[in-house]
Amino acid sequence: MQKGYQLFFGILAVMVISWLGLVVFPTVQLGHQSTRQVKEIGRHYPSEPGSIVLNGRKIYQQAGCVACHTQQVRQSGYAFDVVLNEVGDFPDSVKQILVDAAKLAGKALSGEEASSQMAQLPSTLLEGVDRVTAEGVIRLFKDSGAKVAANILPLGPDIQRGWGPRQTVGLDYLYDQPLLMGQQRLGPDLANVGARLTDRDWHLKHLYHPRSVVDGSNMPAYTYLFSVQPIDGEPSPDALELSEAFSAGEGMEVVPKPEAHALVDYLMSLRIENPVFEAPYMFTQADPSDINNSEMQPAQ
Amino acid sequence: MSSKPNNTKSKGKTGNDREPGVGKAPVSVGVFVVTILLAYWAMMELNTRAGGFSRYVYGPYESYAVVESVQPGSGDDPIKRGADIYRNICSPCHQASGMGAPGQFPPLAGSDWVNVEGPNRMLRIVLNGLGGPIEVNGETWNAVMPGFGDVIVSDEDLAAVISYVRNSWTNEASICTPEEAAAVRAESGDRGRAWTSTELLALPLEVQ
Ligand code: HEC
Ligand code: HEC
Repeated sequence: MQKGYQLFFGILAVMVISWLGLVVFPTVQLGHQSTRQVKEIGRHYPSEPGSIVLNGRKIYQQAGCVACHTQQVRQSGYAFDVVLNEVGDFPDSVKQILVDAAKLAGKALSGEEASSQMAQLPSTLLEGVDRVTAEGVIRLFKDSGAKVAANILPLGPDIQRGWGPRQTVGLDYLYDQPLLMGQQRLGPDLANVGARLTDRDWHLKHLYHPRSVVDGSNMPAYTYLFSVQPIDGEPSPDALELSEAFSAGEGMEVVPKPEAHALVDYLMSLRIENPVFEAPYMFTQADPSDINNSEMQPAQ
Repeated sequence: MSSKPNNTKSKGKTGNDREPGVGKAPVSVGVFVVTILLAYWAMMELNTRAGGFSRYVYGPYESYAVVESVQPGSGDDPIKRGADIYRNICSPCHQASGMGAPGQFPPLAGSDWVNVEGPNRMLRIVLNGLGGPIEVNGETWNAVMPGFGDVIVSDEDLAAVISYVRNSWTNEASICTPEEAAAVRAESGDRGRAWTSTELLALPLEVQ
């Protein structure tokens, strides 16, 4: 062979460069992270998964959920909400500035409306404006004694769909071994599913037969995670409450196996609702009643 | 004529019988120009969009300074802001408790390098790093701390983290102002090597 050594070193160079770029450098850049205290949730994040969650994770892997579900929320941009937090000692001048600020943003605001804004704190003055506008408005309040803040608002299609309040970053995958980030989305993203859909029974029914809770769902049914058994006297407390069309038949009940419970525990553990330094957003402690209302319908 | 095999005119064999080979065909200058331009463009792209390769910078944020500046609740209270920066930069070594790690990282809580009149020496440690033996509270340490002058790019943030350390745990010392941080950065920002404790001890405590 002619120029064999050139071929050899050429291929070697290509391999070494890719190895450096795809393996070594990312390890230097992102490796060796550790959990961090996140003040918004008052504990270290991410927390180490327990054994049940790890079992559920194994079932998630075995069932091939990763073929249809990703666990990564992307963000394409960001904007700011300008919020008035405190009025301070000079309410009259703050009121005047509020009227001026509205003019700057191309809106008309009467003195009365300004007063009502000042009565209910914190009140959002502007929503989703860019940095320059936000800073301009904040500068107006500089010497008025009022406390005005620009709260960051992550933007992007995934965030708009309600799949998560912020993008996922390396830290979120600290205990994700092997990585179940996924690369295809036949179903919705599950990065924050534990915070979005909190009803265990819903998850169990959905796994037993997706179409029993989501019309026209094309997610496969995972019936093998459940045992269909004859009712022995009293029905089991654990049995699923299925509608007519999906019930197991007269005298039969559907009881989740421990695997099903573990899988749901794993799903419940998937949450990215806390901000982290790399992916900031304005975290407000959610009202528990907010979480349970089922307005956040599963995707079609 | 040389006896080496020649890949353009092979001896005897024609067409497909010939063994394929590599020659030294000339390459047009245009290819070089285009390659260099592409490499230049790629470098510029990395320079402006890679966020300085910081692990804390993800798109769409452009740089560490941008991520830092959009942190909710930061900006108004320097100590709170300093706490965020400390947690992200210093705490892997000096620990969230400020106690450091025995034999590896000296403590900041109660340290006689921190609880002094002015932040002059500490500013320099954080800007350029520290190496060689150093005595902290009577104990000698010998390790290397890297400088963070190009990670903590804004003077306000630099002042904030110093102020936080000087006023946390049991520490009680003055607040470091952004002006002081700017003055020290202007003086020693591009020093390029770490300080040693003897060099620092020769400097005044307060920013001049
Ligand atoms: C063939 C692809 C496919 C596979 C495999 C799959 N799913 Fe789904 N999944 C879907 C689709 C499509 C939807 C949307 C319709 C629905 O809610 O049923 C969905 C919805 C969901 C939802 C509701 C999420 C939401 O926001 O509405 C959860 C939770 C879920 N899947 C969990 C799982 C788990 C756990 C597994 C593995 C045991 C799995 N899926 C396997 C396709 C799939
Ligand atoms: C990579 C680990 C590392 C990080 C990150 C780090 N330090 Fe250090 N620091 C050290 C080491 C090691 C020494 C001791 C150096 C020596 O012995 O020469 C030191 C010494 C110091 C000292 C002087 C000794 C003392 O205890 O008073 C101060 C002050 C200090 N660091 C402040 C900081 C601040 C502020 C930050 C964050 C901006 C920081 N360090 C980040 C490793 C680190």
